[in-house]
Amino acid sequence: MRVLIIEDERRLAENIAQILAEREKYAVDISGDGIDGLHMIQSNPYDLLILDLMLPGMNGLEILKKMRQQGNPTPVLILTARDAPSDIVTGLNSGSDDYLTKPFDIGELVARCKALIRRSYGKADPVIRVGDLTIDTAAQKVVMKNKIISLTSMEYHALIYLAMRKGEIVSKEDLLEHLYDFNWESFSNVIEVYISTIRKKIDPLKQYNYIKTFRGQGYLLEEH
Amino acid sequence: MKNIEIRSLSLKTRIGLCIAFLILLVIGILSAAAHHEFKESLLSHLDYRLRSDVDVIREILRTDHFHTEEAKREIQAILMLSRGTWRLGHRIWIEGDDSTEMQNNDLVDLAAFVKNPAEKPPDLDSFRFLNIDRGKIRGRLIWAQCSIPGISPRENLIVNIAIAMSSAHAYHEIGEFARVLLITGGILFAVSIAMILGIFKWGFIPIGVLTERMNKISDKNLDSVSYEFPPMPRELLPFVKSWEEMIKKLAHAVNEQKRFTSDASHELRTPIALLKSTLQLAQAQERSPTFYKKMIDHALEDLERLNHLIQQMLTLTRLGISQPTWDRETIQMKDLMLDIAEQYTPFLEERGFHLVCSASPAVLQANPLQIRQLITNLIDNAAQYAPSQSTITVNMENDSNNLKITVHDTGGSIPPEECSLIFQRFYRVQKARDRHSGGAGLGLAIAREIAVLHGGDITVRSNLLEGTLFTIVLPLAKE
Repeated sequence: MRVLIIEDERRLAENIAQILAEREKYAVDISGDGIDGLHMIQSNPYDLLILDLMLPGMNGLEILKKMRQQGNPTPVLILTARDAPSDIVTGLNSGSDDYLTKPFDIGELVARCKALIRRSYGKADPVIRVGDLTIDTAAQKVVMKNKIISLTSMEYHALIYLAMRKGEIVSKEDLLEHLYDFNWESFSNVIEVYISTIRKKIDPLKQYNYIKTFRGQGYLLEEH
Repeated sequence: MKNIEIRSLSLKTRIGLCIAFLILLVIGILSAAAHHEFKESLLSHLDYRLRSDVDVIREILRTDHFHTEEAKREIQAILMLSRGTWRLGHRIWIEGDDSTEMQNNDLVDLAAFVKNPAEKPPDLDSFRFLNIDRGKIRGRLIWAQCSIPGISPRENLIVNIAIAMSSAHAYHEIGEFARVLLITGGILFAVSIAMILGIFKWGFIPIGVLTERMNKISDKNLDSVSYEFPPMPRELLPFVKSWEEMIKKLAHAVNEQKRFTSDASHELRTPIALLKSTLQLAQAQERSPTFYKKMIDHALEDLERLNHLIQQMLTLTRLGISQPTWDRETIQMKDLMLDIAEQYTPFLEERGFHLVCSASPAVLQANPLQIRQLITNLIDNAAQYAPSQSTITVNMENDSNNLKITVHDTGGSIPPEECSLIFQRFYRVQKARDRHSGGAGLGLAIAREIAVLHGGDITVRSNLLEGTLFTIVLPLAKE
């Protein structure tokens, strides 16, 4: 999953980026300026935007309105020191999905981020099931026929992304964009490696074929 | 406030009582005067009738002889005519001869009234009025004398004429009149009181409206108070106007306060959020000693920022309640400037600035700590916005009244529309919102508060070519 943080307090943004990367292995980009941030959200497919309101260059609410006008559906979490009910109402009415006031608990922030991303893929349940395969996004646990599968973090996130978009064909670029920050092009060959490792780990006897490959198009996670 | 009961008489009652008393006095005096006049005229009318009767009888007696039957008849006729419905009595007799009399004692025995020689008319052609007051019988009595030719031609007789007329009728009329006066006066009084109360009620309507408005005002709705009123009497307009001004000033002050609180909480939350996230990040998992060290450094940095912010807010609050005369000392500005230059030069050079100072031998009567802070806040501000390797110039000059201190840097210009705003608390020029370039936006607010507290002011001029110039003007100590 790829997250953008637009926050002018550089160190706060870095702290959030680090915790998201450590806990959830999200790829995080940071922008400290409104205009630059708007440009980034317009040109990259993020799974979540964490947005401060008081920003140099352009106000957070303006960024939010602009991106929503352009039809950008990325979930947005407003992270601000403004805690008046009227500010929260304005924030949510301007198109944000969640609102968290500073100072916040970092664990709560991570949980909200996960929920927002899950919701944006239409998954209300944190547990995603594909046949006998169970992916618990809350506990970060993958279970195949009551057997816990041990995945590396990148493998896990590649699987999560496919699970989030269960039933859809996901292109390799798409996967890369959501697994890495803006340097993703240098990793273009690792996806095949990850997918084949995941297949071996969840289905060593090749009985199920949950992850299908479509040449030139991408991958599909499906029950049959 | 609502429960405070005004125990003394209300203004309305007081004015009402005064006016009622006045009306009562006027009606009373007029009625008394009218009553008196009416009584006088009735009684003088009675006297007039008595006099005319006497005159006629005199004439009759002069022409006809006293004892002739004709004279008697004529006199009887005159008196009958005169009496009308009133009760009348008369007694006509020749002086010294009580038997030669004509009399009618219908009213009272007149003989009893006309025997005192002291009450006799003073001479022959005059007369005297006497009052009859015998319990229920009241009246007027005229006693006149005239001389008539006697039986022998050379002898004149003196005839006494006394006519009495009851004044009961007159008094009845007077009583009737008094009753009418009392009734009309009473009605007049009642109507006036009703009208006064009505006028009061009508006159107090605007005050009622104002009171109702005031009761609805609280700190929550100060901004939305309506200043539309029903037509007001001209006398109340200055009051309404100042009321309006007061509410507007209050609203402004409350809004300022709200803005300050909200900005303060915002500014405090940011370093706290930073500190908390830093500590939680360190706590999240097992870390290397280098990482912990870095996190501790960051946390201390955040605490320092928080501390600085709180110090600044405290300074502002203290400036807000301090009096201009507190802790005033004589300051040699030259010494102060040298001291500041000495203290600041290393700090500024470290950050790549040059400080150029000039001082005048001015003497200021002021709080030395505050004046120092005023100047250093402006230097700090310049150091935050000026480009590296530039020069910050502090200049000082004075005339006989004022001391002028200028702080100049070559930093980017402040947009003209923001020049008046930068002295507001927590205001930061939009371009400078990036926190790396500054604090919370309290330094200039503190500087202005200090300047104003010392009877001076602070202004700014800024453009791209010349950089930014702050000018402080402070009044000098009077010799």
